Amino acid sequence: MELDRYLRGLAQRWYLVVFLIGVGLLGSWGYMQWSGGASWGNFRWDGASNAVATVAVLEPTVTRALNGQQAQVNFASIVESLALSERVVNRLRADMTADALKGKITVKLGRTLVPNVSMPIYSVKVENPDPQRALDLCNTVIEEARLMFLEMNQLDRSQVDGSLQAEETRLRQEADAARAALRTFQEENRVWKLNSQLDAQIALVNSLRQSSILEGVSRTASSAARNDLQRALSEAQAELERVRGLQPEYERLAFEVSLASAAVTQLSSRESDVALLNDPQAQQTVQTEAEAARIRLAQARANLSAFQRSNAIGDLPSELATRTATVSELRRQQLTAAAASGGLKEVLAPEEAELQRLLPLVPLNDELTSRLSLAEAQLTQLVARKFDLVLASTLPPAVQLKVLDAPRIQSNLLWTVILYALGAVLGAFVGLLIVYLVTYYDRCPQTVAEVQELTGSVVLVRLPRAY
Amino acid sequence: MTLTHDGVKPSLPPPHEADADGFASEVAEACRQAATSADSLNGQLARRDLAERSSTYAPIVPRPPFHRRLFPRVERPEYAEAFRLLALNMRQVAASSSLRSILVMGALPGDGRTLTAANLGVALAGTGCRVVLMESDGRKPQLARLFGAAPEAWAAEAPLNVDRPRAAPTGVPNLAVVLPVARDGVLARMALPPLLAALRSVADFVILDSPPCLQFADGFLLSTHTNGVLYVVRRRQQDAAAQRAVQEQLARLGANVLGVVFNEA
Repeated sequence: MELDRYLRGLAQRWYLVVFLIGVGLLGSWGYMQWSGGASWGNFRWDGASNAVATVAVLEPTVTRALNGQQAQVNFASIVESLALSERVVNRLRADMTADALKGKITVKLGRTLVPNVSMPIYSVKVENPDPQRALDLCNTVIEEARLMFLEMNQLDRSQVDGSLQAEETRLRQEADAARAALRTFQEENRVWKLNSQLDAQIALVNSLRQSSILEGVSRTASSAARNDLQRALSEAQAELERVRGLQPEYERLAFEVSLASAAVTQLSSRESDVALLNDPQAQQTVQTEAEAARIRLAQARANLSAFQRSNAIGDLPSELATRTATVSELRRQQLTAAAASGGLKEVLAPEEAELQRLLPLVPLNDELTSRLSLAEAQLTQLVARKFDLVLASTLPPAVQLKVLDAPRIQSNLLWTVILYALGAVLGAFVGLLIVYLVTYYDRCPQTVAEVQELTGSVVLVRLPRAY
Repeated sequence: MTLTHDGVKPSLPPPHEADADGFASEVAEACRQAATSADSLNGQLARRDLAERSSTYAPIVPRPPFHRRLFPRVERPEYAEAFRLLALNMRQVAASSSLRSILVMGALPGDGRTLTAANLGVALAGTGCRVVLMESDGRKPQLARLFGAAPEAWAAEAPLNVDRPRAAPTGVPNLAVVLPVARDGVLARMALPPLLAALRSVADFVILDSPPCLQFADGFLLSTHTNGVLYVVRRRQQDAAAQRAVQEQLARLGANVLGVVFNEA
């Protein structure tokens, strides 16, 4: 269709476009009333008022992660829940249903320059035709959401102990099993601290090899001296065996002391943090926990001391090192003497055989040792997490949820203008389309030439519109 | 009195002589009576449209459509000028021929025949011609209404005799309206030629309004008694075949089609 014909049709039917623009504007207005929940008597040209508050929340999903063993509810879920809407409606005795209110509450994650996932910032928006009512609703939503947040995420010691007891028991059993497996391995293969033993054996073999070369080897050692050396070696070996036998229990007790000591350190640190919050209840809780941890530490230390006293040992690892060195030295002297008197080969051969026996045991020994270390590390971590949980619940509400911006009425002028413009543009578009279609299918004679063709007569005059 | 029947084609049967003479004198008398009573009637008839007109020879405007009634009415001067141009054309044709009676025809109701006839009459009267508008649409007479008086009002003033035409004033100098000679809404063919002759004797132009010719044959009948036909076409959906049939019919009747008035309203 020619542009001229369309423009002529538009000039004739402009009122259609105007009418549909009006319909579009009316539709925009109606949409705003409908979406804003307006009722008869409180219509506004710009629809509903939006009250918006900004809240920073310490989310439990991050601070209390427990691999799903503890249900956690974040702030956004609480704000969007029907339960919260019911509480707000009941509290304000609002003349609306909880479902209706729920549809008017929007929460979204605010953008920050630093993406801190552990403390997101939420923007909570409540719509209502009445601005004052919107503010009241938004205030109440924030307060009730804060209460619900604390109620649903609060933990006490018994809950934590109950939820973690099975895990702790399992990890302790794993650690004990690892210790037992390592001990069995050591007994069966007559090895203790295999790496140290290997080092000593290698040093001994090297020493023997060197002694055969050196000229200064005593070849005139008396049999009395050799007997004294033999006796001293036997005594040292016996003592070493006794100390080695104490090692597993000593290590277990030392681990308990280490565990209790870590807990005390953690709680002491939190004690100083909580002291700054001026929250007596939180301080009391943390102090109680810290006292209990200190008692556990003292008990573990007492057990360890009693064990040491009863077995006449001090620091077992250093004693073991000392005694192992003594035995090695005595053996080296004994074997050196034996080599001088009887021949190096006879002495060196069994020691080299012992070295060869020990070397293949290294991988299995390493595996068992790692297993024990892993079990102990997991147990240490679990206990630390348990204290984290207990301490996190002692945080006061003011710390867990802060209102950055109090509810305020947000201008929706831009959105209103956009919506009206959209309605007008849509109406104009539909109007222009209808005019186009009507003009396209309009077979009326439009020009003098068409009339002359239609009638076969000359057109004397064109009568324009009278208006 | 012997009348010369201008525009009557020889092929048509001649009217009844005796009746024609007697009736012609009656018509002339009726017209004289109407002319003398025009001044007294002027002040009595309700003439809404006339009162709204800015001057005596201003055109009669159609009733605006609904959406145009929402806004102030501003008449376009082109509307009046179009009729002045049409009147000028008619006068020019009349000067070079024997054009005295003009039939305004149209195919469908609402084409604008009555308004065209009335406004052409006003425009011709404005040029100093004496014009008689003859209401030939007996089924739906509109001319009288346009000038502010319903036929019923005329009937109250002087009871209408179906065999006696009535002349009425219009408020426009040199312009009179004549009610049809009608019987049950159908134009009396036999009475028409003497009436036209009588009117031509007192006026420079006789303009006849007619019913839509695609619905009633009156227009074709009238075309055989007039000197020229003005065909009105409105800008709306048209049936080209029907229009061709109308033109062919007019050609068959030997009608003198002066031209077309293209009504863009």
